[in-house]
Amino acid sequence: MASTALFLLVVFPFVGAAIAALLKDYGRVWALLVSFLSFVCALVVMLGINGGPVRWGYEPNNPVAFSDIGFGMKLSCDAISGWLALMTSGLFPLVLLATGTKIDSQSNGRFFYAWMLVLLGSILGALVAGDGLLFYFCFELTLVPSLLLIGGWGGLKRKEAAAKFFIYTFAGSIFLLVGLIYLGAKAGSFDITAMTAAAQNPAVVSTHARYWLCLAFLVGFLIKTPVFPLHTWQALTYSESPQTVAAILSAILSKLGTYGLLRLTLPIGFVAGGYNEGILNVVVVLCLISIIYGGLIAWVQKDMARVLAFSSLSHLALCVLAILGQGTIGLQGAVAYMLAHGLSTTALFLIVAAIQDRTGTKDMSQISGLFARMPVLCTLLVIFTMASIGLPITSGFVGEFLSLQGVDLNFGLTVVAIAALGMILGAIYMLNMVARVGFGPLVAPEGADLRDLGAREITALVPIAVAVFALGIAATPVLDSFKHDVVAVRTPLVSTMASAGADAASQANYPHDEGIYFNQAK
Amino acid sequence: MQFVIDHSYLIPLLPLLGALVAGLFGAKYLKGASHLPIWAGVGASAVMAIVLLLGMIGQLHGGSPLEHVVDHVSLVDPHFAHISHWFDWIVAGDDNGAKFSASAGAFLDPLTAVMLSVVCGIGFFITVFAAGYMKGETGYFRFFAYLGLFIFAMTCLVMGDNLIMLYLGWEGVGLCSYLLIGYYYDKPAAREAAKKAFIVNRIGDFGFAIGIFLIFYAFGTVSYFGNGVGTHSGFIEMATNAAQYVQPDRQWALAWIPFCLMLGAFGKSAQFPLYVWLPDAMEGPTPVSALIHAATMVTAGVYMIARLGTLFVGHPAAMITIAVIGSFTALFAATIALKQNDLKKVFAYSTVSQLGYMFVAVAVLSPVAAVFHLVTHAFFKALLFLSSGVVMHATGGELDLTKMSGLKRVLPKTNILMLIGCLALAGFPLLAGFWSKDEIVSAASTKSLVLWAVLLLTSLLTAYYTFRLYFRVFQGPLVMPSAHAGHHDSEQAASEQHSHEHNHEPAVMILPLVVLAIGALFAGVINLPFKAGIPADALGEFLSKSPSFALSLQHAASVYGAENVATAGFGVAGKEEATFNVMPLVIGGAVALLGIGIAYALHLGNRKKGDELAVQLAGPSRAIENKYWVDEIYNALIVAPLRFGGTVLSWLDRFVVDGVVFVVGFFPQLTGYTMKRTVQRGFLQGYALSMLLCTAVILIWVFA
Repeated sequence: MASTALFLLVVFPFVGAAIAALLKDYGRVWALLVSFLSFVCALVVMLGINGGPVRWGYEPNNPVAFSDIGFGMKLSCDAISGWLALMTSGLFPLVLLATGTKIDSQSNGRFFYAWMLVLLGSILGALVAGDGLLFYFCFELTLVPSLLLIGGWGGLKRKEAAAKFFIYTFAGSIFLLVGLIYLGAKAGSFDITAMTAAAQNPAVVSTHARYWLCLAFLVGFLIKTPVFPLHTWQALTYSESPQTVAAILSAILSKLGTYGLLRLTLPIGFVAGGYNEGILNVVVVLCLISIIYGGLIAWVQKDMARVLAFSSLSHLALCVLAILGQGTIGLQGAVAYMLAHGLSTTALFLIVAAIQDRTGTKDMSQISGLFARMPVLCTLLVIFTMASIGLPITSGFVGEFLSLQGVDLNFGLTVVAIAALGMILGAIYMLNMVARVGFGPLVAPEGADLRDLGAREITALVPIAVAVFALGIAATPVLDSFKHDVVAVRTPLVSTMASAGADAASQANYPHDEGIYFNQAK
Repeated sequence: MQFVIDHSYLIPLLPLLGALVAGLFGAKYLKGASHLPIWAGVGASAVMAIVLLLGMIGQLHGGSPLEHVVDHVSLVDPHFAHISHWFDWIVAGDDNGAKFSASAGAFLDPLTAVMLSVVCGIGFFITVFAAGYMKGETGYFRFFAYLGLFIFAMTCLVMGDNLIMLYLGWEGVGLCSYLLIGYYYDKPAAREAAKKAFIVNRIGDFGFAIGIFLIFYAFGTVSYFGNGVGTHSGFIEMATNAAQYVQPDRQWALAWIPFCLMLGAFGKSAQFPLYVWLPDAMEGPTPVSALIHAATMVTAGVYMIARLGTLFVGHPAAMITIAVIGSFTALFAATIALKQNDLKKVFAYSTVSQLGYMFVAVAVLSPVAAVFHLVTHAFFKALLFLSSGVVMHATGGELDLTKMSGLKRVLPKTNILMLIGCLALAGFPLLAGFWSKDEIVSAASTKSLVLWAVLLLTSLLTAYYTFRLYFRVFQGPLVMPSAHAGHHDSEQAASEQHSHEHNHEPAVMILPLVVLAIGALFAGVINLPFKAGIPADALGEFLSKSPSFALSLQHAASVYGAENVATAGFGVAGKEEATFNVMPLVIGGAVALLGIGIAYALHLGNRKKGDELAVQLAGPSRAIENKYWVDEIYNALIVAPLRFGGTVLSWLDRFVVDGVVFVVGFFPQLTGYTMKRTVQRGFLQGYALSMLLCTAVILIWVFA
C-alpha cells in the first residue's frame, strides 16, 4: 500500500494539473484538493517507512524501464525524502489557501493553479526519485512552472527575474547532466545507489575523474540552494515573484539544492577515499562568506522579500556546511534545518504576501507600526521570526544548533565561530524588519486596507506554527526517524569491497568516526 | 517536597499555561481579568518553589556534615541533588560515537531552590503589583501573557539539568524581555530599545553557544551531572578531572570555554562592554523593569557562573578577567548613576553596578556571597523600581527628579517604602544590602587591595546617588509635576488614572511593596556572619550542599592547594572556628553613612550649593551625563561601519558579483545571448540549444 501511495504521490499532481487546466472555475478548490491528496499519500508513505525505504518500480516489476541505458522509473523514499515530501505536500495546500483571491477572477487563473500542481509534482518527483535521470528530469521540470508562474503573475520586473532565474539554474544543471551521463555510463545504470557505489569505487571511477564528477554534481546544487557567488538570481526572483510563489521557491524548491547535495554530491563526491579536500575547502569558504555576506546585505534591504532572500542565503549556507561536515549530528541537523527553514520561510513569505495584498507594497520604508491594526498578523510575524532566528522550542533551533554543533566537530573552532556569527546577524536583520513593519507609529500607503488576517489566512498559517513548535519540542522522534538514513548516506558503500584498499581499511578502524577532521589531518 | 520533586515540570508549565490562557482568551473574554491565570500559575509555582526550598532546608540538619567535602566528593548528599527527567528533547548522533543528548529535565539542588524561590516568589508579588499598575491598559492581556511566558523561561533557566535547557531559558527570557521592553510598540524609543536589548544579548548568546559547542566537543555531553552526581557522566563533574575525561587533543578547548561562557554571562547580566541595553530597557513598563531588569533575568549570568563553577575556578586568567570586568562595571556604572535624572535610569545603572559586585564575588571564589547579594538585591531593587512605579503613576509618567520634590506629602506610604529600599541599596547598617555587600567586599579584600578599594569607592557612590534621588524626590518642599505632562501609558490609561486621582497608593500596589520591604529590611539574616537565633552563614551552609558548589570547592582546592582557598566562600565552615571580624562591617557602614551625608548636604540641606557644584565641575559632569558617549562610540565604531559594509556589499552584489558571474561563469549564456541577438530566437530555445551543444562538447571531451 505504501508503495502504491508513493506512486500516487508523484502522479496525482500531474493528473490534477491537467484537469485543472480544463476547469473553468474552482481552480483553487481543485488544486487544494489535489495537493491535499498528495499530502495524504505522503503520510501513508511515511507510515510505511519501516527500517528501509518505501520503493516503487524496482525489479522485477518495473513498468517503465529502459534497461539498455540503465534507466527506470524507480521511486525510493526513505525518511529524509519522506519528511521533505511530507513538508512539501503539506505546505502546498496552505500556500494555495493563502494565495490572494485576485487570481481566481483572472481569466487565466486556472493556469496558475495548474502550473502550481506541476511544480508540486516535479518537486515531489525529484525528492523520491530512485533513479538519477528521473531526478534530473524532475529537477529540471521544476523550472518550467516556476518560470511561467514568475513570468505570468510576477511584479514589474518579472520578465527579467524569470529570465535570470532560468539562466542560472539551467546553466548549473548542464554540469549535473554531464556528470550524470558520465557516471551512469561508467556504472551501467542510473540507479542512484549503483552510481554511488561506482563513484566510490576507485576501480570504476578514477580519483581524477571523481574530482570532476564532484564539481559537476556540486555546481548545480550550489546554484539552486544558493551559495555565494551563485546567488544573484535569488533576490530578484523572490521579490518579483508573486509572494506565494516565492514562498514555494525559497522554502521548498531551494531544498532540492540541499537535498541534492546530501543525496548525490556527498556520497558521489566526498564519501570514502576520493576525498576532494581542495573542493571542500573552497565550498566551506564560500559558505562562510555566504553566511556573513547574506546577513549584512539582508540588514540594509528595504524590500521584505529581499530581506528573506538574503536571509535564505545566509541560513542555507550553514545547512550546506553541516552536510559537508559529514558527521551524523550535523547531517541530522541539516535535515532538520531543511524542514525548519521550509516551515518558517513559507510562513514569512505568506505574511509578506498578506501585507502586500493589503498595502500594495512590501517596501519597509512605506509601512510601519502595523501592530496597532493587525495584531494577529504581527504576532505571527514575531513567532515565525523567532523560528527563523532559531529560538529554542521552535524548529529553527533544532536545525541551527545541531548544524552548528556538527560544523564544530568537523571543521574546528574558527569555522564554527564565523558560522555562528550568523546567529547575531540573523537577529539583527530579522528584528530590524519586525521592528520596522510591526512596531513604531502607524504608517501605511494611502488606500491601504489594514484589516487583520482573515480566517482563510489564519487557517493557512496556524498549522505551520503548530508544526514549528512540534518539531521544536518533539525533536527526538523526528531526528531518530532519519538517523539511519543519514548514516547510510555518509557510510562508504565500497568499504566492503576488497578493491577499496587502504582507504577502506582506514575507514574500518573508525566505523563511527564523527567526521573527517581535516583540520587535524593537515 | 516529594511531590514537587516528582512533578517538577509543573513549575515551568503552570505559568506557561497561564500565559497561553491569557494570550489566547485575554483579548476577547478575560480582558481586565487577564491577570488571574498568571496569578494562579505563578502563585502555584511559587508555592512549589517555597515547598522545595523549605523541604531541603528541613533536611539540612538531618544530613551528614560536609567537613570533608574538600577531600572527597562522594560526600555530596543525595538529599540535595535530584535529577528529574521529563522527556528526551533533542537527541542526535551515533549511539556509540558522538551522541548529542539534551533532555528536558530538572536538576533540583539548593542553588536551584534558592533561585526558583526568588524568581517565582518575587515574580508573584510583582505580578500582583502589575495588576494595579497596568489597570486599564489596552494591551493588558498581552502584558500578562508575556509575564507568564517570562516566568516559564526563567524557571527553565534555573531548573534545567543541562546546558540546552539553560540556553532555552536564556533565549526565552531574552525574547520576553524584548517583547516587554517593546510593550509600548508605537513608541519609537521602546521599539529601538527592545531591538537593542535582543541584539546585544545575542552577541552574548553567540559566546554562550560556542561555549556549549566546545563543552560538547571536549566532554561529549551537555548534561550537568549526567546520570547523577558521583557517576562522572556530567561535564560539571568531569571538569574537576579534565585530564582523565577529555581527550588530549581536545584539551585546548578547556581554555576557551570559560571565556565563551563569560561573554554570554556579560550580555545577559549587563556587564561592560555589553551593558548598554539595560538602561534603554527602562522603556518597558515599570513592573518589567523590576522583575526582569532587576530581580531575575539579569542575574542569570551570575547563576550560570555559580552553576558551572568547575569550568571557571581552575582558570586564573578567566577569574581575573571576571573580577576586573565586574569591578570596573560596578564603578563605571555607579559614576553614570551619579548624574542621571530619570529615576528608573538611576536604578538601571545601579543594577548594572550591583551585578558587578556579584561577578566580583564569584571571581574571588565566593559564590555564596554572590547568591546572597543576588537574593537581597532582588528584594530591594524590585522594591525601588516598583516604588518608582507608584511615583510615576502619581505624577502622570514624570520621572525626572529635577521636576519633583517633597512627594512624601502626597505619597506617605511610598515614602517609607522607598526609604527602606534606598537604605538597603546604600548599605545602611543592619539592612539586607549591608550584610550581602559587606560579604563581597570582605571576600574581595582577601584577594586584592585594589579590588577592595574600588568596591568601597563604589559603595560610597552608591549611597550618594541613591540618596540624591531620595532627598530630591521625597524630601524638601512639595513640587508635584502636572499630571498632564504626557502620560507614558496610552490615553485610555491616563483617563483611567484621573478617576483614581484621590488614591495614588491602592492596596494592590502597596501590599506587594510591603512584602518586598520586609525582605529589604530583614533578608540579611539568612547569612549573618555570626550566630543570631539562626546559625551563622545559614545560606552558605545550605548552598554548600549544592553539588556545583561542593565540586567547585573541591576543584579550586586541588588547583590552588587547600590552604589557599577560603572554604567559607563556598559555604563550608573552615577548620578553625571562623573569627568574626567587626572591622569590615564598621568600615562598610561608615562609607554608606558618609555617602548619605554628602547627598544630604548637597540635595536636601543646601540644594543650591549642590547645583553650583555641578556647574563648577562642568567637564566631568558632562561626560557623565552623556554616559561617556559609549553608545555613540559603539555606533561610530561598530554599527555604522557594519551597516556601511552592508550597503556597499549590497551594491557590489547587484552590479559586480552578478556581472562577473554572468560574464565569466557561464559560457552557455553568452552563446545564448549571442543567439538571441543574432538568430532572434526566444531565449528558451536559445538556452536549450546551447545546453545541448555544451553537453555534447563536454561529453566528447570527457570520453575522448
